[in-house]
Amino acid sequence: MTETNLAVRPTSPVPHRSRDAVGALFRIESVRLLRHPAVLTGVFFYLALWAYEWGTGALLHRYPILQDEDRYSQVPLLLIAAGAFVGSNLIATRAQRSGVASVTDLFALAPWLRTLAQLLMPLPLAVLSGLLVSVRIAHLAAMPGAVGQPSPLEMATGPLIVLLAGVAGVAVGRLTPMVSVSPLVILGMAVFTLVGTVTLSRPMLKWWGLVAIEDEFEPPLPADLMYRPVAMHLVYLAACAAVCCATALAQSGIRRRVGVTAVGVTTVLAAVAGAAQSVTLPEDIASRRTAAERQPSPQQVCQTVNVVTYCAFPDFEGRIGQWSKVADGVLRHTPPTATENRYVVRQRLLFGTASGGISLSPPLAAWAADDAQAGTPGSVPIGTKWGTDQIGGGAMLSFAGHFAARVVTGDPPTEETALSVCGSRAVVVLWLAATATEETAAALHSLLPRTGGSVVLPLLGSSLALSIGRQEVLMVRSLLDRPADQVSEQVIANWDELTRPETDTERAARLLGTRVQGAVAEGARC
Amino acid sequence: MSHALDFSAGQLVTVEGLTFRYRRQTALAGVSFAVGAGVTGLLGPNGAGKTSLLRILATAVPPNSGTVRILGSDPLTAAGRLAVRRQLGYLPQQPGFFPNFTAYEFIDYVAILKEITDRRRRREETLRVLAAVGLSDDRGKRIKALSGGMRQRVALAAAIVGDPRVLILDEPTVGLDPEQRLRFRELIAELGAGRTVLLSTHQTEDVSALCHRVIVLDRGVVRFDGAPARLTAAAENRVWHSAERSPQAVVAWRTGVGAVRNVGVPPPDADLLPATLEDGYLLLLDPSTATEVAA
Amino acid sequence: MLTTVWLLAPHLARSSRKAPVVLCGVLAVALAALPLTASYQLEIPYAVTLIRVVAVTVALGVAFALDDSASATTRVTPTSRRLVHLTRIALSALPMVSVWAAGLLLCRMAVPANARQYLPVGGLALEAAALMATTLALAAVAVTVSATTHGGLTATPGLLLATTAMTLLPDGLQPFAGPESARWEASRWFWLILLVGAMFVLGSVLRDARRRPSAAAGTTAVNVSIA
Repeated sequence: MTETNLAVRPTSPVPHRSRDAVGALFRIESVRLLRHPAVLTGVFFYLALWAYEWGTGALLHRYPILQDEDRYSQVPLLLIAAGAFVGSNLIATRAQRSGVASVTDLFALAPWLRTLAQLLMPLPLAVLSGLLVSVRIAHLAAMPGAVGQPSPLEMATGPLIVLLAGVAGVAVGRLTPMVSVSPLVILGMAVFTLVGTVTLSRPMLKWWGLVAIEDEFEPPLPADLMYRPVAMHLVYLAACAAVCCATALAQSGIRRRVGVTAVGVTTVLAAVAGAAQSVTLPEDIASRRTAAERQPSPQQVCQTVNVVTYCAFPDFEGRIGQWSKVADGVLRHTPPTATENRYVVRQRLLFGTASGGISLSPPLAAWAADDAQAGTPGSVPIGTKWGTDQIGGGAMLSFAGHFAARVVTGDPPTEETALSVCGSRAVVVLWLAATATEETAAALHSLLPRTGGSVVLPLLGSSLALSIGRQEVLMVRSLLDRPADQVSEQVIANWDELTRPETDTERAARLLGTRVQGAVAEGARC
Repeated sequence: MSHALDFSAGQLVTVEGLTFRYRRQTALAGVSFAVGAGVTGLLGPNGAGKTSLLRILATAVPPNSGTVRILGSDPLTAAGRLAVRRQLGYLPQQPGFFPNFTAYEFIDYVAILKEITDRRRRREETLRVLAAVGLSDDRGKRIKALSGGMRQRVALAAAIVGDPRVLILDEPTVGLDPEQRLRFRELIAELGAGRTVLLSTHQTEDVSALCHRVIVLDRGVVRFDGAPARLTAAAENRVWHSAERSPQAVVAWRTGVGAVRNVGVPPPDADLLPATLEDGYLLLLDPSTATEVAA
Repeated sequence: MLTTVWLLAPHLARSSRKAPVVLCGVLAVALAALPLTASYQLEIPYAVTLIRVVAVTVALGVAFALDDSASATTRVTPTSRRLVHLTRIALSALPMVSVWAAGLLLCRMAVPANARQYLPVGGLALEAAALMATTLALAAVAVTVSATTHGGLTATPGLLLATTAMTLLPDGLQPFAGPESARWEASRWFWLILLVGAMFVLGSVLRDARRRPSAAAGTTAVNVSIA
């Protein structure tokens, strides 16, 4: 131990550098926020959900559409946003909670400058969230089967929500030091978001919330036909963040007049921006949608793979490889006579299929005219839904069924051809569709428990559907239990008779070495 | 160091080979001693393991190894712990309160926890302990309205509810003004009559004034165990003052009158001063003189 | 023991934070009463969702139950810590359970009379119990390993983040399964396991501290840990 030297040193006058102090405080607080248990938990859950999807292989079979994935990235980020809200709220109320507010209030740095540093604190976390979203979208884009283009504005929404949550946590902390309020605010936002998602009949409501979720049953669209007031939503969110900042500063000893004015101005701004998020479809997009629905051929790109020509909207060009796998799978079990024909598969859009559950007839005449103009008569339509989940799997199986029907009947899908798929033809069509790929087989297996025995394969979710009766479905199930090559030989050998419209199910059973099970369903149309 | 671990010989608290780790740091590395009735002081620098030792003795935490016996019971068993707690009062280093309770309500709450369920007895006991700590007049004030020293008194009142035979006091005089400290010392000295009081402190004056015995703990081991006078005596003829810091000094500091007080091996012509317990304690903590002083 | 509980209850009730219980209780009842006041006929899936929101709100209400600012002074008394904590839990859980039951009744009344029998009350009660137990378990862990006043501070965000994460789980694992979905039965197992797990954590954390086994502690510690 030595003699302590506590002599007072002459201090040089240090200029008051509030800006530097705010900067230093911002750096400390932002690191504290990044390391806050609530934020870490949020990030952990976010990464865990992602890792789970990846680990179980769900991502590999997701067939991501990037102009939709950008939007889907926002909901999981709510986890980090909730963490940011809790974390920043606890940091903002730290002085009061630990009873040192009476000391910190005497610091040379004015309270409003300390609040300012705390309001800036969520910025690095927002940047980190942006990074996570970018990596997530890049990861999805690298998946086999990814198509489309993400919107930078949609990708920016999630990180902006994290930022808003961070400043809102500070604002709530300035309004009340009660820590039990912040969970209730989160709960309130969660309930509001939930209400926004279930009240699809009032599409405006959800835009007043944080995340605007779309009806997942609507088919995906090419990016240029989508309409969401994303830019205005970003302005609205930023205005909400400004309201929070103004409130927090107004509560931190800023001059009363300035504070009240700032809160008033930003609130008006937020209200205006909120109301300006128009959900009415603009004229030009509406006309482009009509054109894309009725005459898409001029804007589509076509590729021929083997004997099939595929035409897709440019955003979905990457899908052609996936379609050709299914089409080739169907053609694999057909005789050479069937593959002598040339086939065309054209991507089609059908608007309003999911609205109100009203079944919709596809504009077959307009499509036929479009095909005639493009020199691709008799094309098989294919939608934009694709995937291995319930909806996407159904779409895959439906396409396989309609393509098989085109091969078997020789006609493109119309009301008559759909009706003519009966008896033996129905068995062949469903068997070809189910054996096309492993994924179509899986889709049929997951569909069967949900039906009353028969299988309906709608065209793009419309009312035009192939309906396969219970007897035929049972026969296909028994055929699927046998080796595909063995059945394939019998199908090819008896192709002409099996695909004749008059051949009934009994005859098909004999030709394929099986027997008819069960009774014909009542009211069956065949 | 050997101790008679014999309860019948009046040793009310005995510990043997106590080790304790807290957040990967060794707080106690084999502590053994036995104390009987009277006030025993536990002295040591910050991080010496005082609070850990007292928390173990108060049955708040179990040790990693070693044995503890308090009033013949083993607090590491459930039955023993209950038996010990019925005879024990504990004042933690940072006592906690319900700020919206009055001092009376809080002590009443503690009395219920100490199994005084009879309403009249509880009232008498609560009033008794509040009077003992000098809070009779302030018993209706909410704890959040009390000063730091008064809160410390509420905590001491909570410790002595039920007239426990063993009192564990962790820095009871910290944050008290000189007058309050004197009152506290008086109170603790009274409590020490017929009871076992173990108190930790940084203040050597507390120990000289109160304790018949002092245990010095440093980095988890016992450095000294004996009468405070013995520790003072070890520094006798080793304290001198000079105008400047003496090179022979182990510890030296400038006093209020401007001279330097040196503790160590004095030069032949040194101006010797009477030693205090603090001098002995400082010599004990210095590695160069520790063994000599401890002996 | 009952005498002690009876005597402790008023003190513990007065010392615990009432704001979370009141705020959450009022919010839960207000949410549940919303469809009735708006004369909105609830379909079963919407009623189930609303009852779930009520359950989360109710669970938040008990988050602060275990916070005890006086714990340092009072923990080494002969009355066991577990008894004090269980009394605290009962004091805030009982009103919140009634709030949940009231919420359930209000939502049920908003469901058309002929559909009310399809409301899976038992399964929803299981969810509510599991959510409440999880909140208490989180709070118990926090008051034990962190500070004795950090229970609610940890449990509320913990519950909210965990619930949000659960709603984001893929369909095949979704604990908040729809009552008519094929996953309903399987998802009940999730809630049952969560409830039992949370009760186990709660029980073991609220136990009095025992000697910690330690590699360097020698034979004594080993003996004790076996015992």
